[in-house]
Amino acid sequence: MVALIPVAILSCASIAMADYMKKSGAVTYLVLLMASLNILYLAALADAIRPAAAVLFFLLIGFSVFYLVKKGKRGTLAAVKEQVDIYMGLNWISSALFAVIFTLQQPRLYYWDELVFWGPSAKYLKLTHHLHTVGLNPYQKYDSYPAGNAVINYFFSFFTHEFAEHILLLSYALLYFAVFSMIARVIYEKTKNHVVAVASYFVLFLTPFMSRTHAPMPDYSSLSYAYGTSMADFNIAILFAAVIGLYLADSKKPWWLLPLVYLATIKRVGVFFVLLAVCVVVCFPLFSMKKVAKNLKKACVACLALLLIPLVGVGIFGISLRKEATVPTQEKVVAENVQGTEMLEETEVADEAEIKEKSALISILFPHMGNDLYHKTLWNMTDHFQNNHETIFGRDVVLIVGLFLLGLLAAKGAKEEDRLGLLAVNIGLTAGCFVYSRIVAYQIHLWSGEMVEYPRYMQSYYFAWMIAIFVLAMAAPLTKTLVKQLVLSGILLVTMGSIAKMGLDYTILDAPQNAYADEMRVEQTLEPVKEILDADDRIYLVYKDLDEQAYMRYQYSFLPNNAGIDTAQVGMDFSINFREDFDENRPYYNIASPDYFMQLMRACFDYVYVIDADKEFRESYGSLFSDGMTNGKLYKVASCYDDVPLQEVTECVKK
Amino acid sequence: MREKVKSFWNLWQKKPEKMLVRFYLLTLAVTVLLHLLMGAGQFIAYQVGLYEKRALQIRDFEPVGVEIVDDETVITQTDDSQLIFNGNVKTIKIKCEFLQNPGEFVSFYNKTADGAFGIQKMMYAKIKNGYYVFDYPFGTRQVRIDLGVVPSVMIKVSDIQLNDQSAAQMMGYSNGELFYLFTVPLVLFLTLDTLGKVYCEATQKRKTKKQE
Repeated sequence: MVALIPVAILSCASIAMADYMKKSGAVTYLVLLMASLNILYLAALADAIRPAAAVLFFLLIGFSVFYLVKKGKRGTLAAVKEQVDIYMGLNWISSALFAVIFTLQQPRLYYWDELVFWGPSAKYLKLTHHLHTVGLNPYQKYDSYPAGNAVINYFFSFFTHEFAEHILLLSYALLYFAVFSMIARVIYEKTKNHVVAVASYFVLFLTPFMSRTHAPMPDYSSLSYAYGTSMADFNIAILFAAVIGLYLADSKKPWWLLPLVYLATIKRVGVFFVLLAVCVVVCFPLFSMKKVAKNLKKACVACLALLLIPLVGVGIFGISLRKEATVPTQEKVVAENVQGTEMLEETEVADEAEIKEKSALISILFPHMGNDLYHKTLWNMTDHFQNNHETIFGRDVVLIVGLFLLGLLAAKGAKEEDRLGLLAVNIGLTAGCFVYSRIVAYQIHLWSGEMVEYPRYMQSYYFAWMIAIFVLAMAAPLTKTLVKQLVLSGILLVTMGSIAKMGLDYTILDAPQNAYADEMRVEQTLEPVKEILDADDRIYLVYKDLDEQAYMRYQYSFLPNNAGIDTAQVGMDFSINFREDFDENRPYYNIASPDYFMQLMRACFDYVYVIDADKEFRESYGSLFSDGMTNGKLYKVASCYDDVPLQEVTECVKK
Repeated sequence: MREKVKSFWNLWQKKPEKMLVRFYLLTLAVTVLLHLLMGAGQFIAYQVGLYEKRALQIRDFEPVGVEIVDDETVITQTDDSQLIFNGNVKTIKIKCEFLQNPGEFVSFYNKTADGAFGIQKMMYAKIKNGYYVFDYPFGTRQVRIDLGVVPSVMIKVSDIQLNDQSAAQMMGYSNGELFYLFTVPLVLFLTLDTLGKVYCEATQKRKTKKQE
């Protein structure tokens, strides 16, 4: 519920801003939210997010107080409530409803990618007030991944002390509601019809439930949709819609640039959607039948200026995140064992070969320049596209044809001077889908070509497209209100029917804890262990396979402590390496002698935590542990015990 | 009557947002009343002893293909090991640990207490606050808990609670119901509004045709 404090502060400031700018509160709320997130993002790059957030909230509160005092002095305080409309009300009610549900439910993260990046980046920023690339932590290798998700969590959890996963999930929902209420308000301003606008809000509110991959599964693993995931795929679609919505709200003001900047920070592929949004926005003045020459010039200048934004954003991100000052210098560690050295060379050769195997980036536009794996991935994607029912309704090919036809209908309902622009938007979005699918294929082929993530990646585009067409169709002034209402009623009845049939206990709103029971168990296990640790203690994790989810869980749960195997960021795992004679039960073997192992432990770690050691590790290093090595125990790397240097912590070893 | 409906419809069209608010208030009032009635019914059922609230032991169950080692330990002996309980059951909460993966953990139920179980009356265990929970519909008189499809799995059972529900749980709103309370009134309102407009437009067209 503390996450509602920023909502309240933003709401007061947006009411004040709405009065001054003669705009609706729903629009100014989103503008202020986007501006706040962009400011905090830049502050995070400058490694000053905490003071920046404090100043930001102080200014927002101060602005609101100043406005109320001024109104009070003029005796017009009662007029403040005129700035509050039903669309702000819908935002508040939705926010309060989800805050209550999420506080009661306490949903958690559990999907692989959530434990590997989305959760850790947000947790690390919240607990240390630094981006995940600053300082020594196991997630520095993701330094090319932007941190927009971490910033939004930071904003909405500013008034809490601890990191809470349900607030991370809630922060995404709060962003969605802000965008939905703005879009609903825009639809009202274009149509002057509250029924259509309010119904549009509810259609948008239910869009996360429309994915067909959101299906009842016995292990509840389908919670990755419908407000239940920290992965930012759906956020991309929402922010894309926010750009279009803010442009429709007022094309003269550059407010629509704000979600554009944030879109570039939410995910690497966000840059593509920024370019797409620029193209969509530019289509309106470019193809407008009024003042063609003037608009053409305006459009070209805007286009060039805007293309710089994502490039500058990405550039700043890439440069600023490599901060040397807080990262200690480490020399590269090489195993002394000859066998290990040979294996290292072979691994390096294998890595080089692997790099050569990947297609060049240019193959996105020219597939014939790609390699066999890329072609195979494209072929698999075409098969999924034509035959799978994975997205919203029907097969993907049916969906795309349907969206294109809906786009034509939306253009038909627009004013005459806007029809060509909307037609261009429609064609552009269809062509963009084709380009995006190539980008997804390229991404997938980097990960062995498996189609597991295909639905999730493509849904970013499909939902962005769908919401954009929906907004344009509902805002179209020439389409009859009754037709709009019939469409809205149909969508709502079908969606609610589908939700009722599946049951809400397969959604984040009412699901049991099955999907994340293991995560909760790990956290419970580590609670007493973490009480012993200081924030800067480094922990070596003993586990048989660092590519398993169990390992990821422990590494994530130990945050902000630096826990893992290569926590020194030296680029190699110096105690285990790949077997030449592959054994599926034990793909690694130990290459460091016990002496060398201890040398590395003393140099790079403060503690060792044994999750689950396999037989070979136990045989190699068990003698170094005070009790022979027991799963689930923490050991201090002691400098004073030469024979048994890894002392169980319960023996009160002094640091 | 026709005039009353017409005047109500005119008021609806004049101030649709006020009508929507009234829709929400009416829905809230109806759901509160329903909850109180259903909750009261459940509460009474507990008070008169129809549902007995107590802690259970493993030995309160009838084992089928299960070896009961002691009060806290069972071992599955087949790929269809079961524990059967006879009595009026609303919920069973089990705190236990599977030392190996059992494959699945489900429960069947019936209202006839005749040993007949079917796939239509089956549920998967839900994990809530460290317990595996099975919520049964009213009238359940016999349950069968399947301990998985793997033999020789050891299960350590630390707690079993029968019909452990508070008055707040009986009468309160679930998260799902809060969601429906927010969305369903609008859907109903919109549907009725749209149907009304369709009817009015059709009537108007008919009148215009007649006049022509």
